[in-house]
Amino acid sequence: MLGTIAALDLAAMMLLTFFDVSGRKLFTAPIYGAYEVTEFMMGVLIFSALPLVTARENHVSIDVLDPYVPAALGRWQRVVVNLLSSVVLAFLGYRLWVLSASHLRTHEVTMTLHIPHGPFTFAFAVLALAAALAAFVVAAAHLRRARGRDPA
Amino acid sequence: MTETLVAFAALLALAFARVPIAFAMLIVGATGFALTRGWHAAFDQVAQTTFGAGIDYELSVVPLFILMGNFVARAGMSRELFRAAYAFIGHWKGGLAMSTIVACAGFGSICGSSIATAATMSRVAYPQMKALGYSDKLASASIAAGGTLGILIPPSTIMVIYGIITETNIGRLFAAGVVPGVLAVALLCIAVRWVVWRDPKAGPAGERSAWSERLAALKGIWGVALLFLVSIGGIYAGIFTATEGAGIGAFGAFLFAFFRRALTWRVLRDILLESARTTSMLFMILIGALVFANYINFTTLPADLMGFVEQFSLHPMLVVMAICALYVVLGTAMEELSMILLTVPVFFPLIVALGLDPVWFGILVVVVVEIGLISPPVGMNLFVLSSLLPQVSTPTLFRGVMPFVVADVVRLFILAAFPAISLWLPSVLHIAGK
Repeated sequence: MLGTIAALDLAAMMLLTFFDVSGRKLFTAPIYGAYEVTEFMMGVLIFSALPLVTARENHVSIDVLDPYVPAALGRWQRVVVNLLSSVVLAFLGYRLWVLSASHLRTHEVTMTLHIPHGPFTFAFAVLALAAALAAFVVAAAHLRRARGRDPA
Repeated sequence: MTETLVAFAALLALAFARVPIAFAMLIVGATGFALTRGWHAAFDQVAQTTFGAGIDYELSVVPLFILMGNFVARAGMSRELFRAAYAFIGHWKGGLAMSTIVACAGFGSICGSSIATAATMSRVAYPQMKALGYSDKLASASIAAGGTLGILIPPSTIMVIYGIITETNIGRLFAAGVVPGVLAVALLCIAVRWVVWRDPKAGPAGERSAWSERLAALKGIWGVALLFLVSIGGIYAGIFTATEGAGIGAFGAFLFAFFRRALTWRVLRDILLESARTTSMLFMILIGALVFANYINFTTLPADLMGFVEQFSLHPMLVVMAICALYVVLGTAMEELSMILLTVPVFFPLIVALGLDPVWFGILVVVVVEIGLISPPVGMNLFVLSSLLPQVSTPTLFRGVMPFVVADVVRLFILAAFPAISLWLPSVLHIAGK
Protein backbone atom coordinates (compact mmCIF):
# COMPACT_ATOMS: atom_id res chain seq x y z
CA MET A 1 0.00 0.00 0.00
CA LEU A 2 2.75 2.42 0.98
CA GLY A 3 4.64 1.39 -2.16
CA THR A 4 1.65 2.32 -4.31
CA ILE A 5 1.34 5.67 -2.58
CA ALA A 6 5.03 6.40 -3.09
CA ALA A 7 4.94 5.32 -6.76
CA LEU A 8 1.80 7.31 -7.59
CA ASP A 9 3.09 10.32 -5.68
CA LEU A 10 6.36 10.35 -7.65
CA ALA A 11 4.53 9.91 -10.96
CA ALA A 12 2.25 12.81 -10.06
CA MET A 13 5.23 14.94 -9.08
CA MET A 14 6.88 14.29 -12.44
CA LEU A 15 3.71 15.18 -14.36
CA LEU A 16 3.03 18.26 -12.26
CA THR A 17 6.56 19.64 -12.73
CA PHE A 18 6.48 18.89 -16.46
CA PHE A 19 3.12 20.54 -17.09
CA ASP A 20 3.91 23.45 -14.81
CA VAL A 21 7.22 24.17 -16.55
CA SER A 22 5.96 23.64 -20.10
CA GLY A 23 2.87 25.69 -19.30
CA ARG A 24 4.99 28.52 -17.99
CA LYS A 25 7.60 28.49 -20.76
CA LEU A 26 5.38 27.79 -23.75
CA PHE A 27 2.07 29.43 -22.88
CA THR A 28 3.09 31.67 -19.96
CA ALA A 29 0.41 29.82 -18.00
CA PRO A 30 1.98 28.01 -15.04
CA ILE A 31 -0.12 25.81 -12.79
CA TYR A 32 -1.28 27.92 -9.87
CA GLY A 33 0.51 26.90 -6.70
CA ALA A 34 2.35 23.95 -8.28
CA TYR A 35 5.41 24.94 -6.28
CA GLU A 36 3.68 24.31 -2.96
CA VAL A 37 1.99 21.11 -4.05
CA THR A 38 5.38 19.75 -5.18
CA GLU A 39 6.85 20.51 -1.76
CA PHE A 40 4.28 18.43 0.06
CA MET A 41 4.41 15.66 -2.54
CA MET A 42 8.13 15.41 -1.83
CA GLY A 43 7.49 14.98 1.86
CA VAL A 44 4.91 12.28 1.19
CA LEU A 45 7.35 10.56 -1.20
CA ILE A 46 10.18 10.46 1.32
CA PHE A 47 8.17 9.42 4.35
CA SER A 48 5.93 6.86 2.64
CA ALA A 49 9.02 5.05 1.30
CA LEU A 50 10.78 5.25 4.69
CA PRO A 51 9.10 2.19 6.28
CA LEU A 52 9.82 0.20 3.08
CA VAL A 53 13.50 1.12 3.05
CA THR A 54 13.75 0.33 6.75
CA ALA A 55 11.98 -3.03 6.48
CA ARG A 56 14.40 -4.08 3.73
CA GLU A 57 17.42 -2.88 5.74
CA ASN A 58 18.28 -0.73 2.73
CA HIS A 59 19.65 2.22 4.67
CA VAL A 60 23.22 2.96 3.66
CA SER A 61 25.62 1.44 6.15
CA ILE A 62 29.28 0.52 6.17
CA ASP A 63 29.73 -3.24 5.94
CA VAL A 64 33.49 -3.54 5.37
CA LEU A 65 33.96 -5.22 8.70
CA ASP A 66 31.33 -7.91 8.04
CA PRO A 67 33.82 -10.59 6.96
CA TYR A 68 35.65 -10.19 10.29
CA VAL A 69 32.58 -10.41 12.50
CA PRO A 70 31.86 -14.00 13.65
CA ALA A 71 28.41 -15.25 12.61
CA ALA A 72 27.10 -15.55 16.18
CA LEU A 73 28.13 -12.01 17.01
CA GLY A 74 26.82 -10.78 13.65
CA ARG A 75 23.32 -11.82 14.59
CA TRP A 76 23.42 -9.79 17.80
CA GLN A 77 24.96 -6.91 15.90
CA ARG A 78 21.94 -6.91 13.56
CA VAL A 79 19.56 -7.01 16.52
CA VAL A 80 21.23 -4.07 18.28
CA VAL A 81 21.65 -2.00 15.11
CA ASN A 82 18.00 -2.39 14.17
CA LEU A 83 16.84 -1.63 17.71
CA LEU A 84 18.93 1.51 17.68
CA SER A 85 17.47 2.47 14.27
CA SER A 86 14.04 1.87 15.71
CA VAL A 87 14.73 4.20 18.63
CA VAL A 88 16.04 6.95 16.33
CA LEU A 89 13.02 6.65 14.02
CA ALA A 90 10.64 6.60 16.97
CA PHE A 91 12.28 9.74 18.32
CA LEU A 92 11.97 11.38 14.90
CA GLY A 93 8.30 10.38 14.75
CA TYR A 94 7.69 11.69 18.25
CA ARG A 95 9.27 15.07 17.52
CA LEU A 96 7.33 15.37 14.24
CA TRP A 97 4.21 14.54 16.24
CA VAL A 98 4.96 17.41 18.62
CA LEU A 99 5.63 19.68 15.65
CA SER A 100 2.34 18.68 14.03
CA ALA A 101 0.48 19.47 17.25
CA SER A 102 1.94 22.96 17.15
CA HIS A 103 1.14 23.31 13.42
CA LEU A 104 -2.46 22.23 14.08
CA ARG A 105 -2.79 24.58 17.02
CA THR A 106 -1.51 27.63 15.14
CA HIS A 107 -3.27 26.69 11.88
CA GLU A 108 -0.10 27.17 9.91
CA VAL A 109 -0.79 27.26 6.15
CA THR A 110 1.21 27.84 2.94
CA MET A 111 1.32 31.26 1.26
CA THR A 112 -0.51 30.68 -2.02
CA LEU A 113 -2.87 27.75 -1.70
CA HIS A 114 -3.30 27.88 2.08
CA ILE A 115 -2.44 24.20 2.37
CA PRO A 116 -2.46 23.43 6.10
CA HIS A 117 0.88 22.13 7.43
CA GLY A 118 -0.62 20.20 10.32
CA PRO A 119 -2.13 17.15 8.58
CA PHE A 120 1.10 16.62 6.63
CA THR A 121 3.40 16.84 9.64
CA PHE A 122 1.00 14.45 11.34
CA ALA A 123 1.21 12.00 8.42
CA PHE A 124 5.03 12.26 8.39
CA ALA A 125 5.05 11.55 12.13
CA VAL A 126 2.87 8.46 11.69
CA LEU A 127 5.01 7.20 8.81
CA ALA A 128 8.22 7.71 10.80
CA LEU A 129 6.64 5.74 13.65
CA ALA A 130 5.67 3.02 11.16
CA ALA A 131 9.33 2.91 10.07
CA ALA A 132 10.35 2.59 13.74
CA LEU A 133 7.96 -0.35 14.04
CA ALA A 134 9.45 -1.88 10.88
CA ALA A 135 12.97 -1.63 12.32
CA PHE A 136 11.72 -3.23 15.53
CA VAL A 137 10.17 -6.12 13.61
CA VAL A 138 13.43 -6.61 11.70
CA ALA A 139 15.35 -6.67 14.99
CA ALA A 140 12.94 -9.29 16.38
CA ALA A 141 13.31 -11.37 13.22
CA HIS A 142 17.10 -11.35 13.61
CA LEU A 143 16.67 -12.37 17.23
CA ARG A 144 14.52 -15.35 16.21
CA ARG A 145 17.08 -16.18 13.47
CA ALA A 146 14.22 -15.71 11.01
CA ARG A 147 16.38 -13.46 8.87
CA GLY A 148 19.68 -14.19 7.16
CA ARG A 149 22.76 -12.07 7.00
CA ASP A 150 21.95 -10.70 3.59
CA PRO A 151 18.31 -9.70 3.42
CA ALA A 152 16.52 -9.56 0.08
CA MET B 1 37.99 21.33 19.25
CA THR B 2 38.41 18.24 21.45
CA GLU B 3 34.68 17.65 21.80
CA THR B 4 34.25 17.90 18.04
CA LEU B 5 36.92 15.29 17.50
CA VAL B 6 35.19 13.07 20.06
CA ALA B 7 31.97 13.57 18.07
CA PHE B 8 33.67 12.53 14.83
CA ALA B 9 35.20 9.51 16.55
CA ALA B 10 31.82 8.48 17.97
CA LEU B 11 30.28 8.88 14.54
CA LEU B 12 32.89 6.71 12.87
CA ALA B 13 32.60 4.09 15.60
CA LEU B 14 28.82 3.88 15.15
CA ALA B 15 29.09 3.84 11.37
CA PHE B 16 31.69 1.08 11.28
CA ALA B 17 29.58 -0.91 13.76
CA ARG B 18 27.07 -0.93 10.87
CA VAL B 19 24.55 1.54 12.26
CA PRO B 20 22.95 3.16 9.19
CA ILE B 21 25.01 6.27 8.51
CA ALA B 22 21.94 8.51 8.49
CA PHE B 23 21.03 7.45 12.03
CA ALA B 24 24.60 7.61 13.28
CA MET B 25 24.79 11.23 12.14
CA LEU B 26 21.41 11.98 13.72
CA ILE B 27 22.42 10.47 17.05
CA VAL B 28 25.79 12.20 17.27
CA GLY B 29 24.57 15.48 15.76
CA ALA B 30 21.55 15.75 18.07
CA THR B 31 23.51 14.75 21.17
CA GLY B 32 26.33 17.18 20.37
CA PHE B 33 23.84 19.95 19.73
CA ALA B 34 22.06 19.18 22.98
CA LEU B 35 25.30 19.30 24.98
CA THR B 36 26.24 22.69 23.54
CA ARG B 37 22.82 24.32 23.23
CA GLY B 38 20.46 22.39 25.49
CA TRP B 39 18.16 19.43 24.92
CA HIS B 40 15.07 21.43 24.13
CA ALA B 41 16.79 23.34 21.32
CA ALA B 42 18.24 20.09 19.99
CA PHE B 43 14.84 18.38 19.84
CA ASP B 44 13.27 21.29 18.02
CA GLN B 45 16.22 21.47 15.66
CA VAL B 46 15.84 17.82 14.65
CA ALA B 47 12.12 18.14 13.90
CA GLN B 48 12.51 21.43 12.04
CA THR B 49 15.43 20.14 9.97
CA THR B 50 13.57 16.95 9.07
CA PHE B 51 10.39 18.76 8.12
CA GLY B 52 12.28 21.52 6.32
CA ALA B 53 14.36 19.17 4.18
CA GLY B 54 11.32 16.99 3.52
CA ILE B 55 9.36 19.80 1.89
CA ASP B 56 12.18 21.84 0.31
CA TYR B 57 11.23 22.68 -3.29
CA GLU B 58 14.87 23.01 -4.37
CA LEU B 59 15.44 19.40 -3.32
CA SER B 60 12.70 18.05 -5.60
CA VAL B 61 15.42 18.07 -8.26
CA VAL B 62 16.84 14.95 -6.57
CA PRO B 63 13.93 12.48 -7.05
CA LEU B 64 13.29 13.83 -10.55
CA PHE B 65 16.85 13.22 -11.76
CA ILE B 66 16.87 9.80 -10.08
CA LEU B 67 13.65 8.96 -11.89
CA MET B 68 15.05 10.20 -15.21
CA GLY B 69 18.11 7.98 -14.77
CA ASN B 70 16.01 4.92 -13.96
CA PHE B 71 13.79 5.48 -17.02
CA VAL B 72 16.69 5.82 -19.46
CA ALA B 73 18.41 2.81 -17.91
CA ARG B 74 15.34 0.71 -18.80
CA ALA B 75 14.78 2.32 -22.19
CA GLY B 76 17.78 0.51 -23.67
CA MET B 77 19.50 3.69 -24.78
CA SER B 78 22.86 2.32 -23.68
CA ARG B 79 22.77 -0.13 -26.60
CA GLU B 80 22.73 2.55 -29.30
CA LEU B 81 25.42 4.53 -27.52
CA PHE B 82 27.70 1.53 -27.38
CA ARG B 83 27.08 0.71 -31.05
CA ALA B 84 27.89 4.26 -32.12
CA ALA B 85 31.10 4.38 -30.09
CA TYR B 86 32.12 0.96 -31.42
CA ALA B 87 31.57 2.02 -35.02
CA PHE B 88 34.18 4.74 -34.61
CA ILE B 89 36.86 3.28 -32.34
CA GLY B 90 36.08 -0.45 -32.04
CA HIS B 91 38.87 -1.38 -34.45
CA TRP B 92 41.57 0.03 -32.17
CA LYS B 93 43.46 -2.20 -29.77
CA GLY B 94 41.34 -2.24 -26.64
CA GLY B 95 38.75 -0.45 -28.75
CA LEU B 96 35.80 -2.21 -27.17
CA ALA B 97 36.81 -1.15 -23.68
CA MET B 98 37.30 2.40 -24.99
CA SER B 99 33.89 2.25 -26.68
CA THR B 100 32.46 1.24 -23.33
CA ILE B 101 34.00 4.29 -21.67
CA VAL B 102 32.81 6.64 -24.40
CA ALA B 103 29.32 5.12 -24.26
CA CYS B 104 29.32 5.52 -20.45
CA ALA B 105 30.16 9.19 -20.92
CA GLY B 106 27.27 9.53 -23.37
CA PHE B 107 24.96 7.78 -20.97
CA GLY B 108 26.21 10.02 -18.18
CA SER B 109 24.84 12.99 -20.12
CA ILE B 110 21.29 11.81 -19.45
CA CYS B 111 21.78 9.93 -16.18
CA GLY B 112 23.00 11.37 -12.91
CA SER B 113 23.95 8.16 -11.18
CA SER B 114 27.20 6.25 -11.51
CA ILE B 115 25.67 3.05 -10.26
CA ALA B 116 22.86 3.13 -12.82
CA THR B 117 25.35 3.93 -15.58
CA ALA B 118 27.62 1.01 -14.66
CA ALA B 119 24.67 -1.35 -14.25
CA THR B 120 23.02 -0.58 -17.56
CA MET B 121 26.32 -0.58 -19.45
CA SER B 122 27.40 -3.93 -18.04
CA ARG B 123 24.39 -5.61 -19.68
CA VAL B 124 25.34 -4.23 -23.08
CA ALA B 125 29.12 -4.03 -23.09
CA TYR B 126 30.25 -7.06 -21.13
CA PRO B 127 28.78 -9.74 -23.46
CA GLN B 128 30.28 -7.95 -26.48
CA MET B 129 33.73 -7.75 -24.93
CA LYS B 130 33.61 -11.40 -23.90
CA ALA B 131 32.52 -12.41 -27.42
CA LEU B 132 35.65 -10.78 -28.79
CA GLY B 133 37.87 -12.53 -26.25
CA TYR B 134 38.52 -9.69 -23.82
CA SER B 135 39.91 -10.62 -20.41
CA ASP B 136 37.45 -10.45 -17.52
CA LYS B 137 39.82 -8.08 -15.81
CA LEU B 138 39.71 -5.41 -18.50
CA ALA B 139 36.06 -5.96 -19.41
CA SER B 140 34.66 -5.60 -15.90
CA ALA B 141 37.04 -2.85 -14.78
CA SER B 142 36.41 -0.64 -17.81
CA ILE B 143 32.67 -0.75 -17.10
CA ALA B 144 33.19 0.04 -13.40
CA ALA B 145 35.49 2.95 -14.23
CA GLY B 146 33.42 4.26 -17.14
CA GLY B 147 30.32 4.11 -14.98
CA THR B 148 31.72 6.71 -12.59
CA LEU B 149 31.37 9.29 -15.39
CA GLY B 150 27.63 9.24 -14.60
CA ILE B 151 28.13 11.72 -11.76
CA LEU B 152 30.75 13.91 -13.45
CA ILE B 153 28.93 14.54 -16.69
CA PRO B 154 25.69 16.40 -15.96
CA PRO B 155 23.10 15.66 -14.71
CA SER B 156 24.66 14.52 -11.46
CA THR B 157 23.11 13.58 -8.14
CA ILE B 158 26.29 14.41 -6.22
CA MET B 159 26.55 17.87 -7.82
CA VAL B 160 22.90 18.56 -6.97
CA ILE B 161 23.45 17.64 -3.33
CA TYR B 162 26.73 19.56 -3.11
CA GLY B 163 25.01 22.54 -4.71
CA ILE B 164 22.15 22.46 -2.24
CA ILE B 165 24.20 22.10 0.94
CA THR B 166 26.71 24.79 -0.08
CA GLU B 167 24.24 27.04 -1.92
CA THR B 168 26.31 26.82 -5.07
CA ASN B 169 24.49 27.26 -8.39
CA ILE B 170 23.64 23.79 -9.72
CA GLY B 171 23.55 24.96 -13.34
CA ARG B 172 27.11 26.27 -13.05
CA LEU B 173 28.23 23.00 -11.47
CA PHE B 174 26.58 21.10 -14.32
CA ALA B 175 28.44 23.23 -16.86
CA ALA B 176 31.73 22.81 -15.00
CA GLY B 177 31.55 19.02 -15.29
CA VAL B 178 31.64 18.85 -19.08
CA VAL B 179 35.28 19.56 -19.95
CA PRO B 180 36.60 17.48 -17.02
CA GLY B 181 34.32 14.73 -18.35
CA VAL B 182 36.08 14.83 -21.73
CA LEU B 183 39.45 14.80 -19.95
CA ALA B 184 38.28 11.79 -17.94
CA VAL B 185 37.34 9.87 -21.10
CA ALA B 186 40.77 10.59 -22.58
CA LEU B 187 42.63 9.47 -19.45
CA LEU B 188 40.55 6.33 -18.99
CA CYS B 189 41.19 5.42 -22.65
CA ILE B 190 44.92 5.91 -22.05
CA ALA B 191 44.58 3.50 -19.12
CA VAL B 192 42.95 0.96 -21.47
CA ARG B 193 45.80 1.50 -23.92
CA TRP B 194 48.31 0.83 -21.15
CA VAL B 195 46.55 -2.41 -20.20
CA VAL B 196 46.59 -3.75 -23.78
CA TRP B 197 50.18 -2.60 -24.23
CA ARG B 198 51.11 -4.72 -21.21
CA ASP B 199 48.95 -7.63 -22.30
CA PRO B 200 47.80 -7.51 -25.95
CA LYS B 201 45.54 -10.53 -25.44
CA ALA B 202 43.48 -8.64 -22.84
CA GLY B 203 41.76 -6.49 -25.45
CA PRO B 204 41.99 -7.49 -29.13
CA ALA B 205 40.88 -5.09 -31.83
CA GLY B 206 37.41 -5.34 -33.35
CA GLU B 207 36.43 -4.95 -36.99
CA ARG B 208 36.67 -1.61 -38.72
CA SER B 209 33.29 -0.15 -39.62
CA ALA B 210 32.57 1.54 -42.94
CA TRP B 211 31.60 5.21 -42.91
CA SER B 212 28.06 4.34 -43.91
CA GLU B 213 27.74 2.12 -40.83
CA ARG B 214 29.25 4.84 -38.70
CA LEU B 215 26.73 7.41 -39.84
CA ALA B 216 23.88 4.96 -39.35
CA ALA B 217 25.09 4.19 -35.81
CA LEU B 218 25.42 7.89 -35.08
CA LYS B 219 21.81 8.45 -36.12
CA GLY B 220 20.81 5.82 -33.55
CA ILE B 221 21.72 8.08 -30.65
CA TRP B 222 19.31 10.89 -31.55
CA GLY B 223 17.19 10.06 -28.52
CA VAL B 224 20.02 10.59 -26.07
CA ALA B 225 21.07 13.77 -27.85
CA LEU B 226 17.54 15.16 -27.79
CA LEU B 227 17.03 14.38 -24.12
CA PHE B 228 20.34 16.00 -23.19
CA LEU B 229 19.68 19.03 -25.39
CA VAL B 230 16.23 19.74 -23.97
CA SER B 231 16.87 19.00 -20.31
CA ILE B 232 20.50 19.91 -19.62
CA GLY B 233 20.81 22.22 -22.63
CA GLY B 234 17.82 24.13 -21.29
CA ILE B 235 19.61 24.59 -17.97
CA TYR B 236 22.79 25.77 -19.77
CA ALA B 237 20.88 28.19 -21.93
CA GLY B 238 19.29 29.71 -18.87
CA ILE B 239 15.79 28.65 -19.94
CA PHE B 240 15.27 26.28 -17.00
CA THR B 241 16.39 26.11 -13.42
CA ALA B 242 17.85 22.75 -12.40
CA THR B 243 14.53 21.60 -10.93
CA GLU B 244 12.63 22.54 -14.08
CA GLY B 245 15.19 20.78 -16.26
CA ALA B 246 14.88 17.69 -14.08
CA GLY B 247 11.09 17.68 -14.44
CA ILE B 248 11.33 17.98 -18.23
CA GLY B 249 14.08 15.35 -18.35
CA ALA B 250 12.16 12.85 -16.22
CA PHE B 251 9.05 13.20 -18.33
CA GLY B 252 11.06 13.01 -21.58
CA ALA B 253 12.80 9.87 -20.36
CA PHE B 254 9.40 8.41 -19.46
CA LEU B 255 8.16 9.08 -23.02
CA PHE B 256 11.23 7.40 -24.53
CA ALA B 257 10.82 4.35 -22.32
CA PHE B 258 7.13 4.27 -23.19
CA PHE B 259 7.50 4.53 -26.98
CA ARG B 260 10.28 1.98 -27.03
CA ARG B 261 7.80 -0.40 -25.43
CA ALA B 262 10.11 -0.85 -22.45
CA LEU B 263 7.27 -0.16 -20.02
CA THR B 264 4.69 -2.57 -18.73
CA TRP B 265 2.63 -1.58 -15.72
CA ARG B 266 4.85 -3.76 -13.63
CA VAL B 267 8.08 -2.23 -14.91
CA LEU B 268 6.68 1.27 -14.49
CA ARG B 269 5.71 0.53 -10.90
CA ASP B 270 9.14 -0.97 -10.23
CA ILE B 271 10.91 2.07 -11.64
CA LEU B 272 8.78 4.49 -9.63
CA LEU B 273 9.11 2.49 -6.43
CA GLU B 274 12.84 1.99 -6.87
CA SER B 275 13.28 5.73 -7.39
CA ALA B 276 11.12 6.48 -4.36
CA ARG B 277 13.17 4.16 -2.17
CA THR B 278 16.45 5.65 -3.38
CA THR B 279 15.08 9.13 -2.71
CA SER B 280 13.98 8.23 0.80
CA MET B 281 17.37 6.67 1.54
CA LEU B 282 19.25 9.73 0.25
CA PHE B 283 17.04 12.13 2.18
CA MET B 284 17.60 10.29 5.43
CA ILE B 285 21.35 10.67 4.90
CA LEU B 286 20.83 14.31 3.97
CA ILE B 287 18.71 14.99 7.07
CA GLY B 288 21.26 13.23 9.29
CA ALA B 289 24.05 15.27 7.74
CA LEU B 290 22.13 18.53 8.18
CA VAL B 291 21.54 17.80 11.85
CA PHE B 292 25.22 16.98 12.23
CA ALA B 293 26.24 20.11 10.32
CA ASN B 294 24.03 22.26 12.54
CA TYR B 295 26.03 20.97 15.46
CA ILE B 296 29.41 21.46 13.75
CA ASN B 297 28.49 25.06 12.94
CA PHE B 298 28.14 25.75 16.66
CA THR B 299 31.55 24.31 17.44
CA THR B 300 34.88 25.98 16.93
CA LEU B 301 36.08 23.38 14.43
CA PRO B 302 35.66 25.41 11.20
CA ALA B 303 37.29 28.45 12.85
CA ASP B 304 40.06 26.32 14.39
CA LEU B 305 40.84 24.86 11.01
CA MET B 306 41.01 28.35 9.51
CA GLY B 307 43.26 29.46 12.37
CA PHE B 308 45.54 26.52 11.73
CA VAL B 309 45.85 27.40 8.06
CA GLU B 310 46.55 31.06 8.86
CA GLN B 311 49.03 30.31 11.61
CA PHE B 312 51.24 28.33 9.29
CA SER B 313 50.29 30.55 6.33
CA LEU B 314 49.65 27.45 4.26
CA HIS B 315 49.32 27.95 0.53
CA PRO B 316 45.66 27.51 -0.57
CA MET B 317 46.77 24.92 -3.12
CA LEU B 318 48.41 22.90 -0.37
CA VAL B 319 45.19 22.98 1.62
CA VAL B 320 43.19 21.76 -1.36
CA MET B 321 45.71 19.00 -2.02
CA ALA B 322 45.53 17.93 1.63
CA ILE B 323 41.73 17.83 1.53
CA CYS B 324 41.74 15.81 -1.70
CA ALA B 325 44.30 13.38 -0.31
CA LEU B 326 42.18 12.89 2.79
CA TYR B 327 39.12 12.23 0.61
CA VAL B 328 40.92 9.68 -1.54
CA VAL B 329 42.06 7.80 1.57
CA LEU B 330 38.68 8.00 3.33
CA GLY B 331 36.92 7.07 0.10
CA THR B 332 38.56 3.67 -0.04
CA ALA B 333 36.72 2.61 3.13
CA MET B 334 33.69 4.91 3.42
CA GLU B 335 30.47 5.32 1.57
CA GLU B 336 31.07 8.39 -0.59
CA LEU B 337 27.90 10.43 -0.22
CA SER B 338 28.05 10.41 3.57
CA MET B 339 31.76 11.22 3.43
CA ILE B 340 30.98 14.34 1.40
CA LEU B 341 27.99 15.37 3.50
CA LEU B 342 29.99 15.00 6.70
CA THR B 343 33.09 16.86 5.65
CA VAL B 344 31.84 19.58 3.31
CA PRO B 345 30.35 21.62 6.19
CA VAL B 346 33.82 21.64 7.74
CA PHE B 347 35.91 22.28 4.63
CA PHE B 348 33.63 24.51 2.62
CA PRO B 349 33.98 27.66 4.80
CA LEU B 350 37.74 27.20 4.55
CA ILE B 351 37.61 27.01 0.76
CA VAL B 352 35.51 30.17 0.58
CA ALA B 353 37.74 32.02 3.07
CA LEU B 354 40.80 31.13 1.01
CA GLY B 355 39.13 32.79 -1.96
CA LEU B 356 38.82 29.57 -3.95
CA ASP B 357 35.95 28.96 -6.36
CA PRO B 358 33.13 26.81 -4.85
CA VAL B 359 32.22 25.46 -8.30
CA TRP B 360 35.76 24.27 -8.91
CA PHE B 361 35.92 22.69 -5.46
CA GLY B 362 32.61 20.99 -6.24
CA ILE B 363 34.16 19.36 -9.31
CA LEU B 364 37.12 18.15 -7.24
CA VAL B 365 34.64 16.70 -4.73
CA VAL B 366 32.85 14.85 -7.52
CA VAL B 367 36.15 13.46 -8.81
CA VAL B 368 37.18 12.17 -5.39
CA VAL B 369 33.78 10.52 -5.10
CA GLU B 370 34.39 8.87 -8.49
CA ILE B 371 37.71 7.57 -7.24
CA GLY B 372 36.03 6.31 -4.08
CA LEU B 373 33.43 4.45 -6.17
CA ILE B 374 36.08 2.27 -7.83
CA SER B 375 38.76 2.03 -5.15
CA PRO B 376 38.85 -1.26 -3.24
CA PRO B 377 37.83 -2.48 -0.77
CA VAL B 378 34.68 -0.32 -0.51
CA GLY B 379 33.60 0.94 -3.91
CA MET B 380 29.93 0.95 -4.82
CA ASN B 381 30.59 0.48 -8.54
CA LEU B 382 32.74 -2.56 -7.81
CA PHE B 383 29.95 -4.05 -5.71
CA VAL B 384 27.42 -3.43 -8.45
CA LEU B 385 29.65 -5.06 -11.05
CA SER B 386 30.40 -8.11 -8.94
CA SER B 387 26.71 -8.63 -8.22
CA LEU B 388 25.79 -8.28 -11.90
CA LEU B 389 28.72 -10.35 -13.18
CA PRO B 390 29.05 -13.20 -10.67
CA GLN B 391 31.44 -15.00 -13.04
CA VAL B 392 34.08 -12.30 -12.45
CA SER B 393 35.84 -12.84 -9.13
CA THR B 394 36.25 -9.88 -6.80
CA PRO B 395 40.08 -10.05 -6.72
CA THR B 396 40.12 -10.00 -10.53
CA LEU B 397 37.95 -6.91 -10.53
CA PHE B 398 40.08 -5.25 -7.83
CA ARG B 399 43.28 -5.85 -9.80
CA GLY B 400 41.70 -4.84 -13.09
CA VAL B 401 40.51 -1.50 -11.81
CA MET B 402 43.88 -0.29 -10.51
CA PRO B 403 45.08 1.35 -13.78
CA PHE B 404 41.81 3.26 -13.88
CA VAL B 405 42.18 4.42 -10.28
CA VAL B 406 45.63 5.74 -11.23
CA ALA B 407 44.15 7.53 -14.26
CA ASP B 408 41.54 9.12 -11.99
CA VAL B 409 44.12 10.31 -9.48
CA VAL B 410 46.12 11.87 -12.32
CA ARG B 411 42.93 13.62 -13.42
CA LEU B 412 42.34 14.91 -9.90
CA PHE B 413 45.80 16.50 -9.92
CA ILE B 414 45.29 18.05 -13.35
CA LEU B 415 41.92 19.51 -12.36
CA ALA B 416 43.31 20.82 -9.06
CA ALA B 417 46.29 22.41 -10.80
CA PHE B 418 44.29 23.99 -13.64
CA PRO B 419 40.95 25.36 -12.36
CA ALA B 420 40.28 26.81 -15.82
CA ILE B 421 39.48 23.34 -17.16
CA SER B 422 36.42 23.28 -14.91
CA LEU B 423 35.55 26.96 -14.87
CA TRP B 424 35.81 27.90 -18.52
CA LEU B 425 32.45 26.57 -19.69
CA PRO B 426 30.37 28.04 -16.83
CA SER B 427 32.03 31.39 -17.46
CA VAL B 428 30.86 31.56 -21.07
CA LEU B 429 27.29 30.38 -20.39
CA HIS B 430 24.55 32.47 -18.85
CA ILE B 431 22.95 30.26 -16.28
CA ALA B 432 19.64 31.03 -14.58
CA GLY B 433 18.78 30.72 -10.92
CA LYS B 434 20.63 31.70 -7.82
